[in-house]
Amino acid sequence: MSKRSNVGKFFTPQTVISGAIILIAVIAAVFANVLVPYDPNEVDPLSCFLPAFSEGHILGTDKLGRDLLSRMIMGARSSMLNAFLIVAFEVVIGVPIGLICGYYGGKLDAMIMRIWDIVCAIPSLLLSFILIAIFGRGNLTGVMAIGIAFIPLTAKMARSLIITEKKAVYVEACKSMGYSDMKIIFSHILPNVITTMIAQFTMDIGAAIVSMATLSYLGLGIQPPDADWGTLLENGMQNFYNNTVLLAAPAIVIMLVTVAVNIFSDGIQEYIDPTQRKLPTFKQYEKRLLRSGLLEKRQKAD
Amino acid sequence: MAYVKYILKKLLQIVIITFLVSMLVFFSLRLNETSPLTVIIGNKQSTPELQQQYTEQFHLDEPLLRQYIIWLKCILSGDLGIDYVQKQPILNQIIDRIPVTIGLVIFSTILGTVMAILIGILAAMKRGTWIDSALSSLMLFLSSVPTFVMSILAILFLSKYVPGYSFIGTYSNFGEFMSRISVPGVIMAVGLVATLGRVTRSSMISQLQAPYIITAKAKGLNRMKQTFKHAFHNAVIPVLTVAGYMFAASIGSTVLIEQIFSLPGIGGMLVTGIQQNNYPIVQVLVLVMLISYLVMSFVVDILYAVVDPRIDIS
Repeated sequence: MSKRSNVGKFFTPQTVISGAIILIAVIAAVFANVLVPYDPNEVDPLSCFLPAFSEGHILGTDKLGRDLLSRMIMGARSSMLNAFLIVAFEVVIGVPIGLICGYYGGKLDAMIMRIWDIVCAIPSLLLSFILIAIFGRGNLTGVMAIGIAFIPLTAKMARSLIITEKKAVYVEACKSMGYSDMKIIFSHILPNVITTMIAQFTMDIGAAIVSMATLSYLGLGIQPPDADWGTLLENGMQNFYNNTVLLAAPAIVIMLVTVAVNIFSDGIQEYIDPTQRKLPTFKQYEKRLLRSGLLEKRQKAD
Repeated sequence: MAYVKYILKKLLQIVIITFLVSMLVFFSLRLNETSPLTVIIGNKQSTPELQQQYTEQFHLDEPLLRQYIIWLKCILSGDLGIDYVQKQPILNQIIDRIPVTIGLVIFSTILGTVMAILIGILAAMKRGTWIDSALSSLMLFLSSVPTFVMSILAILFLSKYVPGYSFIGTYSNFGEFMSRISVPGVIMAVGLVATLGRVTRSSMISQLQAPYIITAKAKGLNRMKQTFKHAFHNAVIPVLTVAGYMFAASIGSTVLIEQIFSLPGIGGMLVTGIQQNNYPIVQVLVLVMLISYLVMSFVVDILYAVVDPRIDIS
């Protein structure tokens, strides 16, 4: 309650720290093939289970002598890329469906929402298991399964937003100018509602990283020799008696990134959502005015 | 009358959803490239006689629609069929494995709800102090840590510092059963606390500001009585509702936790079933989990109206 020093700003300590963690993960993912010190899949039977901080291998090596740091960096690439793909998938499919349903309403809307209710009745993890059972195991099918499981909630959110938004005056103005419905939905309403959804999408990235790691951990996602953080965790789990770092490193990284994503999305939410945005108190407002010299000018004018 | 109509409508909805999902799962599993016959024969020598025998036993030569009807008839008459790999009755396998899953779900829900209510009340009573902000940030942190990372860190910690405590694998008596489900149960409960604690806190805060609490204060009632006898009674309703829904949803999350702790529950069975393309098991378990989830949320809906008579059920 007393901490109001960072009101109305986006760059609070929380968002800066969490943003930095996310940025590191993204950089690791993008420049993975430049950053890796060794080939992540190179087997070296002479140096199995090297402990952390051993010569040449900062994080040590695994059962087959593969460098853990390189595998973590390559894992960052698959994990982050998959997470972005999942969110892109749900945005590209979920948002238009929700917008169109909400804009037109009527029978189509009722029917699709009924289907969504059924899909939502299945727990999302179970739904992805069903989809994996159908499409078979693999990286892309995993992404698709989780993406499909995420779609209904996105569509519902987009729908609820457009239902209030379509009553706005500017929509009526667009209609009276004879714009087509698609133009109104996608080039006029969408930019107005997308900001509200951005916080949710950020949060979904965190959920997507966890879900994909879960699938890979269970051996249903990415297939060897490729690895993401989930596979590394599974490998670490099998061999942690020999080398604890194998387990600790992916566990800590997944934890850090997901917590960071959640805190970051909270920050975005607070900044974007006007009802949640912490506005400056009158005293702070006054102080700000004083600092900028505006108050004096105004008083002079009076 | 509205009650009966609502209940009937909900039950009908459950039946329809289950039927649709059963159809979806059955037919879409057949889209998978692996043919059932390869799964059934497995690594045995494949002879034409064997193929013939299994094709007849599992009705593989019938058209798909007919296979589905046969399967549905069996399920409805209580015969869950035989699985492809071990060729054992699925019903027995489920009965062997379901205690772990049910134990986990019940244990974690009770523990999590009790912990969440205590933490939430504490945070609400100390609202605005450092205790409140510490508890709130702890809950935000816990809700963002993935369950399976937490379980892995727990395994790591316990195996290092409490090496004598066995909590992984199968069990043979009740004591062992409890020690097996204790650690995963606590972890699932922690996940519950993170969400439920926040619900309790906000619900308690809104009740503590209600006029009747001011009256109670004016009458000179002591603080404990204000909080627990009056505010809590009203605040607990939304908490129990959310707890009920989370109880229903936790059936799905046992899948992961059982796999991590190698517990012999139905969640692990489902994952193995998917990995081995063991269609009959996947079909049945998906239905079992779905039905338990739907029925649980249905019961919560009904209880909600029973607990709070002000709520209009329809």
